[in-house]
Amino acid sequence: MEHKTTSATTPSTYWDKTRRLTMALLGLWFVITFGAVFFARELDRVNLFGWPLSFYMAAQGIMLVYLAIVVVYTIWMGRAERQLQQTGEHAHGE
Amino acid sequence: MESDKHFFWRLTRYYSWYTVGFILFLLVLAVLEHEGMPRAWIGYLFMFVTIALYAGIGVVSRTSDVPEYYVAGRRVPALFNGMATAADWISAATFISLAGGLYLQGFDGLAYIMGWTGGYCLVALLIAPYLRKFGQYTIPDFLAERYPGRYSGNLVRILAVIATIIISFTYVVAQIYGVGLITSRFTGIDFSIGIFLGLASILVCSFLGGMRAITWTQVAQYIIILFAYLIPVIWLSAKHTSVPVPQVAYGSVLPKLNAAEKRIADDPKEKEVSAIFQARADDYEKKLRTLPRSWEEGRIDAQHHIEEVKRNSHASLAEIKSASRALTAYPKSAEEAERKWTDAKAYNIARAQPPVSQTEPFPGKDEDAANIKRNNFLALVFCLMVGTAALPHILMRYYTTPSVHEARKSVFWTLFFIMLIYITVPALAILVKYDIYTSLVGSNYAHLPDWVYYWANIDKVNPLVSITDLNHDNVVQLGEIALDGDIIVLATPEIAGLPYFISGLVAAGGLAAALSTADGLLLTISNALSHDVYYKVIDPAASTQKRVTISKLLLLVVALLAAYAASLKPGDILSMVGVAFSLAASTLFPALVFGIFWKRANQPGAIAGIVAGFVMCVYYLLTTHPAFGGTVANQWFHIAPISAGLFGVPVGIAALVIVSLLTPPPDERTLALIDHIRTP
Repeated sequence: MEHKTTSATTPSTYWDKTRRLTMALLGLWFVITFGAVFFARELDRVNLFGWPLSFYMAAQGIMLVYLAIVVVYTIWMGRAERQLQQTGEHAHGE
Repeated sequence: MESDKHFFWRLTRYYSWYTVGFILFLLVLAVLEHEGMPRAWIGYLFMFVTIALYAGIGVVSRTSDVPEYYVAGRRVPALFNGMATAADWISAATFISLAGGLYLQGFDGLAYIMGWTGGYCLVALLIAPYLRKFGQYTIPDFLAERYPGRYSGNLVRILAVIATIIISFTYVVAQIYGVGLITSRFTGIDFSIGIFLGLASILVCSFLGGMRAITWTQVAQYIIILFAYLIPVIWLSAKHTSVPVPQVAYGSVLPKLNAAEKRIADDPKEKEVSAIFQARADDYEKKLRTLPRSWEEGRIDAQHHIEEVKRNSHASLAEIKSASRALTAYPKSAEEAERKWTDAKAYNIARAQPPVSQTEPFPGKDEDAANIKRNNFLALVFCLMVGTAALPHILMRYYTTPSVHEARKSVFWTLFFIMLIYITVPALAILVKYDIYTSLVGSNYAHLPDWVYYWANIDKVNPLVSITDLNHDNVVQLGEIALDGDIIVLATPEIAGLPYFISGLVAAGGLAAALSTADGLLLTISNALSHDVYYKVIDPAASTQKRVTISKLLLLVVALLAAYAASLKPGDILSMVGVAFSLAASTLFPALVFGIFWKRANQPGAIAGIVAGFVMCVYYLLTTHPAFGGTVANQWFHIAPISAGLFGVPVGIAALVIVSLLTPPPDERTLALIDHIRTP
């Protein structure tokens, strides 16, 4: 029974969840992009295994963050989608 | 119909065999080169074999079925759609010019790397899954369904079609231009013949099989692009760091490169060269100030010189020729002199500058200059990202996956495959720079490497590389080397000391990059015309057979037009590609995203948004872009014209929101559509 209450997802809660996740990830996307560029001169003094941090971020690091954002989104949305389908099947079954 | 899983494994098997075959082909060429096959033949073999391969895939995947033709039957697995989209995305400019941009501009060049990858976050989060759920054929399709009106549902469609065509056409002309450049540089055949050869392969492919043929060709092209980009860099990395993983190993070269930069900056010989350029710039400055008298004097001098040379019986033929060339090249009027000399002054001032540091962010004379650079970097990143999320030929690809979840996964694979290339770009630029700074600079003029001679002679009018001993010390100074950015990728195999067939592979990779992008763009344009204009507006009763036939005919017409435009060699077309991103961002992005996330957005709002964004963007371009007669003085906040979208996007959004709120909300049917696309 407990399982059912936690995973009960209707299209409207699904959409709320989607919107929250989208906002959070977009926020991260914005902060990391803007921050890495705006403070590039300050970050330049930090050294990361031989790379100046600002150069590394702009050249490669930020790309990995972008990929991570897309990965997190895909996994979470896939899970939310399955929950929505399960709830739908339950509703049909009852 | 076979199951999705079965289909996926069948494709994996095909492409694995294809990859093995390609490696065998490379090995055969390696042996042939070893046996003494001439360079030109290797170049020809690469061109013709790859072009024939793409055409072959086109013939095998031919179709006249509507869903197959427009969206590859909506059964392209996420991984393969990702690979195809990556090939669609990696254009001639990315493949050839991105590393060169990094080499020449240092930190500033990284804006392209950030912008062209970060845009996929927006595609994944805001657009791709919803478009897939909507499940029609084109981007105007979506906008038209989402913004129906009391008077005409097709108003938004027509506007979206116009935007799609303007954006895609500039882009496709640049790709075909790239095809011409690569074929003429590597095989020595004429530029226009190169264009039509490439065009033939594009046409066979998309003409016969539409999206289906293009998708399977693009996957094949991506594999070639990946090989072509990685092999030379891996080699170079092994040479300089003894670690064959350039993406990581180049870090150990950075401190050495910084040391070399410092040494060069302090070298008195470099300062000598810089002073020579400064003196030339001052000379032009003096001549510009005394126009038009200086122009007349210069002309008389040139005439005198030619007479003197002719009178001198010891003068060689070469001397006479060069004197008469100087006279023909001399400006015909004082106005022309002013233009030419202003350019020459700017060129010499640029050459007199000390080299840019590779890693220092926003170097500038003072705080203000550095801040302007930073703001422009941010603006460019913004425009490239938002533009990416609004490019019709990329978004269209997410209609082709079997489900919404596959569409999300497919954006991940797209970014992953793009990243494989992009993460290597900085490594390539830095390793080549290190090589040039340490082995070319300081070497003797008698022992210049072969690649310098080879590439200096390919294009005599605008040489890709030129080295002149300006201070006559017989030693190469950095200031004496003039490089075109494109050479960084094209000459890497030779710089790394690899055999010629690898150069052929790089050319084939560049060609694959240009062709794959051109394929996708041409299909986007012809679909917009045939599906959106012909079928949806002119003749909604057209049979499916007729629709596909019309689409194929239009594709032919558009391709010929684009080839014709490219054969005129419009010099500014390459910079126009950057502008296409701003245009896409300003016109299509607000309508797309607000259409999904804001139920209140309605037809008048969307029309206002598209028009206002377009007008704002074009207005800024016209007033600031030198190609359209604009000037730097008109810039707002010192933002460069390429980032016109920085103003276009907010204006577009503001117009969409304000007009939507002032007019009645959308009807029940539209609200139901929005709920439908929001549920997977």
